[in-house]
Amino acid sequence: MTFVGFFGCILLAFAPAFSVFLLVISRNAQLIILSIGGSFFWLLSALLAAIWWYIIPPLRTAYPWIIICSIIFQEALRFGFFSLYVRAEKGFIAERERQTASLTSHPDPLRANIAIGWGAGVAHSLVSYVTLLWEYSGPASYFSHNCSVSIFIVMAVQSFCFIVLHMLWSIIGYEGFVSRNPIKMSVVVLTHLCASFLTMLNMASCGAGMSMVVILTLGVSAYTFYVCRGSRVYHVSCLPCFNCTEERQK
Amino acid sequence: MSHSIDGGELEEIEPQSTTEQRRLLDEDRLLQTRTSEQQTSHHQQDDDDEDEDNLEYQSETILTILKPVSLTMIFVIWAVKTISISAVFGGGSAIYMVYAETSTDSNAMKFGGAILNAILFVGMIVVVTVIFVVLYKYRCYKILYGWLILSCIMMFGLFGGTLAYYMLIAYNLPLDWLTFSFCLWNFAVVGVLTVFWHGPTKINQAYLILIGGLMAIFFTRLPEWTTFSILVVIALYDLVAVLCPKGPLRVLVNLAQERKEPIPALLYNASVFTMMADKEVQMPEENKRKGVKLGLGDFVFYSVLIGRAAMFNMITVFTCFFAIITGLFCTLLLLAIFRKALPALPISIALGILFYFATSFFLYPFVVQLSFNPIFI
Repeated sequence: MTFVGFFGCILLAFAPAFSVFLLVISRNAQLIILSIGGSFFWLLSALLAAIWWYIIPPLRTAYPWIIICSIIFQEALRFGFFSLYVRAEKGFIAERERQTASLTSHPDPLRANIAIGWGAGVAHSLVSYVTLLWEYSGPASYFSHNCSVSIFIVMAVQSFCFIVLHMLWSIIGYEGFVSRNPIKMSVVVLTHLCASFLTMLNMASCGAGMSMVVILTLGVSAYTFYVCRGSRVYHVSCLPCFNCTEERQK
Repeated sequence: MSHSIDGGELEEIEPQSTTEQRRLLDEDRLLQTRTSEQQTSHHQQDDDDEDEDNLEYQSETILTILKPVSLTMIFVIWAVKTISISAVFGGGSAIYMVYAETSTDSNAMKFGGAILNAILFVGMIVVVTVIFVVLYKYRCYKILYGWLILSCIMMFGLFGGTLAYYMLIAYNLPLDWLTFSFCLWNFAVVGVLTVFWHGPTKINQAYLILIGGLMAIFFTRLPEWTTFSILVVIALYDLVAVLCPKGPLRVLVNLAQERKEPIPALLYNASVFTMMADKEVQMPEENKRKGVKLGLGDFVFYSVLIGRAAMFNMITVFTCFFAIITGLFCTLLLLAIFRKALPALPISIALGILFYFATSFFLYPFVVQLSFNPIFI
């Protein structure tokens, strides 16, 4: 029985991410490299946050401050990665003009950012969820007394939401970073803070945080569509189908 | 099939095989990365631009390396999580370890003993590599092949068999001895044939991944401190062995080039100890299109680290995985810049060990605290 629940939770949390991997990322080697880069930078930020948490004892159970500090680290490294990426991209474009060879498989910014966000999101969910999830595969399950739904399912839905959110944040954040738009960048930071604080509702009543995060995810995805529509960084006419980008590049 | 494994017959086979044949086999067998069909054709279009190493091509080759490395790691994690390796194969009391770690020892004692073990281990690798080079130099092919085939069949038969046996027990699956031995025999024989002689590329690669995985599982039984000191010392040795102009590896490569024979690299791939000798990422100057070669030794030691991480918690598995892969990417980036054989271990192992300890000391308690009141940071 626990084994069934274990697989259910894995699929709930990671199956959407897996399908994004199959349909978008695995098609292009550079996207895979970018996603690994994204997850490495996210892990670095998580480690920094954990060390920060460890060396300042008053922080141990002060959850609001934990959240704020760790989000500062995460967002700083996210934009650090963007600036690295922009620099590498410039070098690459220069190289490309020199070579004049047709490099059709170079990913466009939208897919590149989906990959970066995907990497960060998957790393985030794996690190936050997998320790708990692995307990579920064991001989028995355990329940939290203030949780009407199983805590594993709550975490699975939250993991799924954070993977999606990271992809959206990456898209919005990159567009804000390139066009030097402080509003879009602050939207990323603020919605991240918002999402993390919403999960604190779980301490009061278990499912509450989960459902709020789902609603927030829907809101952020609507905003992402709005951002992409007017964007010069991404070419929106290509948004619904990911196939026309090759045509455009010619 | 069962007859072909006779010692006599095999010895006959080897001298008969011409250099040409062996070269072909060599190309098939090595886990060298090939670009996909379209990639190759694309490259043929701009042959003159071949020297301008382009990013796209690089990333294709990175991908082809990433796949087998990940598969080996997954195999090792599965085995480590399913059965308790040290219970099955006896704890740290391997014969070649001078110091047997016990949990009551002080940290200083553990540290000293672990360093001693690691130095001994690497010393043994050096000695075996030198013996191998000497045998190759004086053309003792029969001894060489006999040695390698024996170690390969022992590995598949004995070690693989034991592992499979305990896997069956762990999953509570019934199987009669007759079927088991029949399957095991065929498994080992096909393995030896495909590794040393000829076989479809896919099966060959599967067996190479299996060899790497089995070796790594074998090493995960070493005690904790010894494992880490071995990894560090091996990474340092790798640095010296690949970059040093007078190392046994260089001698071997030069010998093989003098004789206009293929480097007997596949031999290493199968052997237990000498496999470390093949542990360099190299990009042959003459034909870059073949891509990047990653020695089986690298597979083994990456997977040893991952297996050790799997014994702690799943979270360290993922952080180590990302660290090792990022280290591998950095190495490949350096490879594109410097264009010479580079050791694949140092960067990855350093990052991996750093992430392992950072995760187990800081990140793990942090995450556990957060996940009990399901908070996502």
